[in-house]
Amino acid sequence: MSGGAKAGNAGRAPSAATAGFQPAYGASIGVAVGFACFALLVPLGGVSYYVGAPDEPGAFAAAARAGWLWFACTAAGVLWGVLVAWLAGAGERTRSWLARGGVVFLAAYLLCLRGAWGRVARELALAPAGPARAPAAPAAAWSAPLLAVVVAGAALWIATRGSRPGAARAPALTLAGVHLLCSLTAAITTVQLAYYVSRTPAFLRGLGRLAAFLAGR
Amino acid sequence: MLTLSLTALTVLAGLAAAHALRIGAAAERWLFAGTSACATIVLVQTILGATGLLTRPAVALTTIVVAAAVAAASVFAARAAVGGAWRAELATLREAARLLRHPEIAALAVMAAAAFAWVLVAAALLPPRSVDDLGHHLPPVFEAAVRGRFVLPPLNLHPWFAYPLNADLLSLWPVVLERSIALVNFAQAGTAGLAALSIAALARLAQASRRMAVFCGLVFLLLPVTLRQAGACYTDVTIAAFFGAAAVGVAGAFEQGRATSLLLAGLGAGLLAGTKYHMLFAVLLMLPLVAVAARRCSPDARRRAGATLLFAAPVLALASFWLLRNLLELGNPCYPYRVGLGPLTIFANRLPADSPLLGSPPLLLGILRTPATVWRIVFTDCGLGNVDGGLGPVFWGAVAPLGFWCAAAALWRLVRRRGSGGLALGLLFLAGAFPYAASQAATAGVTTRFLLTAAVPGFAMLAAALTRRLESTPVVGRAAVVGVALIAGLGVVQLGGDREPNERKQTMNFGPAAAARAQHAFASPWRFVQNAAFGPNRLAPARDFLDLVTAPPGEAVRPLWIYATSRSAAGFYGRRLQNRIWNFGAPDRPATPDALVYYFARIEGVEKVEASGDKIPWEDIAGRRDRCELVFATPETAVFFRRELLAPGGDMWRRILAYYEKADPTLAVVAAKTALPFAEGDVVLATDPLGFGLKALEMTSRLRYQVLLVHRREIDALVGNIRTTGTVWLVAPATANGPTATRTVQVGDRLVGFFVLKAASR
Repeated sequence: MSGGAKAGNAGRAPSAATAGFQPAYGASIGVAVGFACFALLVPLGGVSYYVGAPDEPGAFAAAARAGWLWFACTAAGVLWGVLVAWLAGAGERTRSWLARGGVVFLAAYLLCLRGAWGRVARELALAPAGPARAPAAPAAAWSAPLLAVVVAGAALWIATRGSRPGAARAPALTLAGVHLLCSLTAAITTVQLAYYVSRTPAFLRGLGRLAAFLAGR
Repeated sequence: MLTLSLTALTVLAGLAAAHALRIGAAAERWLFAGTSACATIVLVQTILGATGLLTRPAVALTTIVVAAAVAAASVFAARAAVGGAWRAELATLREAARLLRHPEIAALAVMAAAAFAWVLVAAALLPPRSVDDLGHHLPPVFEAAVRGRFVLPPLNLHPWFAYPLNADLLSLWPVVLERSIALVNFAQAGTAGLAALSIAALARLAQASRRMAVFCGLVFLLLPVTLRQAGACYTDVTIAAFFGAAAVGVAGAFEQGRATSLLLAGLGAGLLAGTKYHMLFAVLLMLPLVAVAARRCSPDARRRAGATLLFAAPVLALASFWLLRNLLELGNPCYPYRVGLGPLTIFANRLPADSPLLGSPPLLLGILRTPATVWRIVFTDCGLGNVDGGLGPVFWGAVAPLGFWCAAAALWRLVRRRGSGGLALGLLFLAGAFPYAASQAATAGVTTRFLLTAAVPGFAMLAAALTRRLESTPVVGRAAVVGVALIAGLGVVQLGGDREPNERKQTMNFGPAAAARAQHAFASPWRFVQNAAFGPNRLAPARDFLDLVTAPPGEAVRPLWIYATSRSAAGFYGRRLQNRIWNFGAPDRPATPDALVYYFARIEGVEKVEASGDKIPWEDIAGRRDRCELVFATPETAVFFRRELLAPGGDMWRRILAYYEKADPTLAVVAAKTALPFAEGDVVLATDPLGFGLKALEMTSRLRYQVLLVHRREIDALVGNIRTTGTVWLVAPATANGPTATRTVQVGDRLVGFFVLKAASR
């Protein structure tokens, strides 16, 4: 814990929920790492739910596979995180690092941005004459989400540094819960983002028409 | 204008009542005002519709009397509170404006404003275009407006006609008052605001900050399903608003022991119970909370009974009519569904034997049997980009799990006798989710909109959770708020685009309609309905034609009785309700219809006519011109008019000529340029669309030969029936798969190709 955190809790006996049930901090990080695995493993190009059209043959089965993949990654991440946190020992410094890490790892959910390239991945998968005729997967499909994660992670790292105890130390079980909700939300966003991206150009055109209409033109 | 004035009057009367009842929280006060306005509108129309007095003067007068009575009673009961209301509302406005300084609220408010501007413009420029609107929501509404009383349209056409209509009465309101369908799409845009208010009010009851309460209300407004439905005549957003009002009332009474909250609960629950059978489950699940709340309101038995009556009376007044009508007229209050308990059947099922709903278990059972169903629902976000619009990642990923978790935790606390904190909100979430869980598994993909009711307490829980995070761990809270705001913003983009293969119900592309209005084009709003399945888009040209000949811009209405086929035929009444559907069996209908509209629906790859009601087979009309004349055709539609209506120089003759000449002026130019060498006495059969131009030339005596419009499906039959000394020719546009063009004509930037065939020679 940071010095501020210690000062903030001075005189009170730490409870499991507020002062850090240490394996739960590990579980938080594990959930985030599990999501990262999901985001990198989910076969965006192999499924059809990217258009948001579950009538398409195979879409339901693909969605179910994605759901089980998320569940498996999350469960494995939680087990891994709890184990590592438990093995790391119960020292105050370790607990502090884990608590801070639990917050900083919230940035991992920005990997859901990878879903924005789902349509390209889909075109690659469905290319009639093989990858040669299909659009090349842009390097941004990997670099942009990773860059976003690094930038957001750095921002969270800075934000959790210093004298604000509440900023750095989230209640452990609550933080694990927040991670679970963020992970599921980000997983759904990962597989649905291509749909939203595909609608954006038409939306912008429509927005222009709306502005013109409201302006009387 | 009358609609807006009377609506404002009912809202202001409700606001006065809210002040008289000393409802302190601004969101709850405005929610009460909106809900009581809805209740007034519904109750007035229910009474007048049931008694056959549903006319514009009666509705306006009764509404004014009711609103004035409510306002007067409020002033009489609490003069000081009502007198100082304007100061309180001014303070509310200032507070709302101050909230805009928070970046996440400012961003979502801007997005919501833009999105709802889009929804409202589309609602104003486009006609009702969703298949369910035209198929079963609007026919009872339009029929009531035309006849001045509630009637049950033929149930063999659609069993859903027997549904309770409370929410649909909000669509009926402007139709009756304006005698036009111009404002029919707007009801749910208003009730979406009420639903957002109910989230804010519930969130405040759950100790959320004002900031997060407003934030989550805005997120609800940006849900894909909210935006997709806000401009349609569906009822799901309205149902969410009614449920929200009931939930706020129940939670207020339960948590704070306020008896007056039970009045709001009763209004909401009554409106809800009279809207959709599924929602009876939700109301039933609220009853234990209401019972406990009534006990908390007062230890005195008489006061407790009074508090209970505050809930029960509006429920009975608002919901009983539809259930009683169905019981008395159809023998089943929940027609057409079976009502029973396990194997015990109280009211038998009346669904058609081939209905996919029969034999499909409740969704909850389906999920228990196949857990992967949950992933299918969650990860496809059923409805997104498809039928209704999805609920979005925030709902599936955060709101739904949080709702179930909080409900379970509250129940666990109750079981361990550790108090009832959060119990009301938890049970209300379950009550909101239950209608979806109880719906048939076969409809899992299209009824996720039923979860909008669960979304109301769910987003209130999210607001409370975010508030706690912002207070205890600001970094985590801020990160979560930013994430929710970013994802919520995604919902807006699904308004754009009209090329999705599965975009069925609610096309939002208003651009062509706006351009036509700016250019004063001769067009009805139906011309711009695109990409909707089950007919609305393929029927659009015929509806455009019918509307323009029966109610041309600036001219008098010429009512027509129309025989129409297709699933969504029942909902087409024209802009000024001038077109009546003949096969409804109205008591005043003539023996024969004025117009016959045949629609060749594409069903499992085969095009065929879906006739309903009193049938006039296509074979009785096609290929003959003794009783009817073909006046309009597309590959999918054929419109015939009775010959008596088409006397040269007559009113309808003139209107049809105006359509041919104005609807697409280039056609007449093309026809004139064809310079076809037909002789006097020849008969030229012409198909769409070139035929309209040729017909216009013939009607203005500029041709020496006769032109007959013909549908492609009746050419062979018609050729054999034509009696002429000359030659029969066939002129039709060249198509990619049909005969190649024998002639082409350049018109502007269009190259029009057509072919000419000698069909018969005498």
